[in-house]
Amino acid sequence: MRSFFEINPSFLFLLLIFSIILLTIFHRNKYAALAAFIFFTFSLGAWRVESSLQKVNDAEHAGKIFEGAALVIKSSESSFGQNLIIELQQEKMNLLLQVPAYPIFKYGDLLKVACRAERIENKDAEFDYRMYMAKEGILYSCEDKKFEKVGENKGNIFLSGIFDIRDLLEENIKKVIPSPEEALAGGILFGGSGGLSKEIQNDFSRTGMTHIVAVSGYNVTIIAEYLILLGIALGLWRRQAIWFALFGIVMFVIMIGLPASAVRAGVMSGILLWAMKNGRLASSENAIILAGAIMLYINPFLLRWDIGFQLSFLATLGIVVSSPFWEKSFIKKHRALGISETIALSLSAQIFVLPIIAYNFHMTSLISLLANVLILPIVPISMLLVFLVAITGFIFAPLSLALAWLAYLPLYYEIHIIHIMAQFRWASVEIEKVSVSFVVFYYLILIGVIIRMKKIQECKKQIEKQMFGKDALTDRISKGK
Amino acid sequence: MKNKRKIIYSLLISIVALAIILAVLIFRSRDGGMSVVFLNVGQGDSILIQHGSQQILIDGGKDGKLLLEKLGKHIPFWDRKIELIIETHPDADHIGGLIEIFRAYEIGSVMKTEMQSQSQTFKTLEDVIVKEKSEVIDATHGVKIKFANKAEAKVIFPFEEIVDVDAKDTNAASVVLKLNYGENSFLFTGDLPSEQEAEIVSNNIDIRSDVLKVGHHGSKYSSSAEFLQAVKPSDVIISVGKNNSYGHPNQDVIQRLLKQGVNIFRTDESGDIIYECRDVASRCLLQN
Repeated sequence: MRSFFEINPSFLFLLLIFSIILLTIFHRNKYAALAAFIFFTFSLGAWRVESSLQKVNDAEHAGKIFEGAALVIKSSESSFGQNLIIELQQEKMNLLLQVPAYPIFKYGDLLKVACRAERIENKDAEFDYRMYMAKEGILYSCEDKKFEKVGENKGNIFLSGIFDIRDLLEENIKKVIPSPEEALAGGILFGGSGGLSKEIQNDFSRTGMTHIVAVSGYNVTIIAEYLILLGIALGLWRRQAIWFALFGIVMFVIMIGLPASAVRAGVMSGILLWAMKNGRLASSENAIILAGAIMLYINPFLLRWDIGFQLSFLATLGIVVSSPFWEKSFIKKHRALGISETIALSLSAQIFVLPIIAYNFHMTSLISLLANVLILPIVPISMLLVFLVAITGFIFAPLSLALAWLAYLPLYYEIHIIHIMAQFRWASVEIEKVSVSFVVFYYLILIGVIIRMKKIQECKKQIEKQMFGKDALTDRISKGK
Repeated sequence: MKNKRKIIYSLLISIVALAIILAVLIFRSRDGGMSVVFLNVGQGDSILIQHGSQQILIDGGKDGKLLLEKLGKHIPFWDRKIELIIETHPDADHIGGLIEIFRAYEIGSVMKTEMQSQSQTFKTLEDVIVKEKSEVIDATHGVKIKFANKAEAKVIFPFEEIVDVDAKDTNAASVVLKLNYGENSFLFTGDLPSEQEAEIVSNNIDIRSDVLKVGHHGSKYSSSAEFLQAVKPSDVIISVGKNNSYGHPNQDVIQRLLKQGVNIFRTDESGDIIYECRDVASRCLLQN
């Protein structure tokens, strides 16, 4: 039953890579049964993708005129104004509505709209905007539009409340920390690099540091750790503290608007915490793959058209799969303030995502490892300080200001180190064109290496189990990694 | 035990860090100089005049995010108040960035004319000014702004209250400001067209200045030869975006400026253009 879930996702499109990576991790299972499952899930997955794609291509509503009330369910900044996702109240269909920067619309605003639905156009040959939106369930944009706001706070009261809290927290940060540090603060706490200017975003991608402003398993794990500590400090038992952290993670994921990466990170941290609570420590590999499988079943488009999903899935998998190896052979011997651990973790993540980045962005960062080593150890403390700044902003403004000065130091350091490193001409190199076959080849080699490492690991583990009665996994999870 | 020690250590480190920050603050606030920064905000205008913890911001470009980053760079991090914002006129490339500023900084006063615009940007900004309860000062000839260090800024134009507040040509009512600090003088002209430049010249107002921010990003409808002769600047600043679709600055204007023998600085080429004035007795120097 276990392996059924693990190999459920619709693997037909994004090559065999994923399935084979999964396969290697569960090579302990019976191969024959596995192969059968792969066939089964392949056809299931193919059917899921096929039927969803059909809907996109049919575009049955193209050219139709819609008129009536619509609820704003999402609003985000774009280069020319705001992108609103509106839900037509009568048809219960979601549309993209592009409006100027002002006035500002937010979740729960009720609009009176009249427009013609058109298929979303790809303006740029490099970027498949149509499929990018399709994976969010948005097939049409609103053209020749007329709209006016007729009401507000018409959305779900609970969601409105939680979004309002986030806005207030962001406001509190903005009030006391200057830009661009303020934008970084918002990014590491809530995810999103939207607040940073193009130049700084470019610095981040040249140094391979964009992931600290994206919601990933990494920062949800930090939040979970802090919440458990807080729970215990408040006098909760460890079990209660874990419940407390679980609740906190759910709130957090909703708060940042339920992006795929946050849901995945939240689900994974959730599963781990749940396992800890029950005293049964699931392996994190299973948690990631289960999360990935469920999300792909719900939305098969993520696999091929959501680079964020691919990157975070592979990076987390990379860390989890290779960390036992690193921990045993490297970190135990060279404990240098956790730096060697950061190196090991960054390197494993990078090995796993390298071809995806090269394939999609035509560049790869050479300085990324150094940047990660210099920045990552500071991120948890920055997050904590920024969070305290945001909270104390409600209670006592001068304290919030004093904390802001403290938070400013690490944030300033992060921005400037990243800026300095992005200046090196060799910080990143452009890669002309990466072929799909190269990507496949790369992952095949990687899988081979992992199988070998796993085998060696297995032997060592057996020996150690006899010696200490404790395995690497227990060790790792008890550390909260 | 170990945890307790950790907490004590982090508390100690925090206190030391705070002490260092305070020391830097005290040291910096003694610094009595003044600076005038022409911010590179792309196609648009934004100028920051700063003395210690007092700031005047003339216009804000069109992009709030970019403006906030620029202000974060030039205003000390502990200073969360801008004393005065001046809107020269309600065009998006001058006021678009200002809305965001209200979310991040406390804004003491807003100086502007009665000029109106139908744009949503203008309306949103008006709403924000009311919501944040900033004092609104009407900009007309003769209004003076005094800094603690005896620097003084004076409104040159418009001469009187604007009658046709809904006029299409918002540029014609641009606020023109002259800043004097010791022997140094700066003239900021918004998007003022040549017709109004002539009006100022014919009124025999002292507009002679060392540094001139030319009107309307160097467009051909501004910076007439007569006006340039009256100002007699040694440096001129053109606040303009790289490869802008308007073709600013105009080549004729550049020729006119070169004929006057002035130094031309452009924000699209030099980035932020900073003048530092050490004290009232010394000349303001261009930093690079």
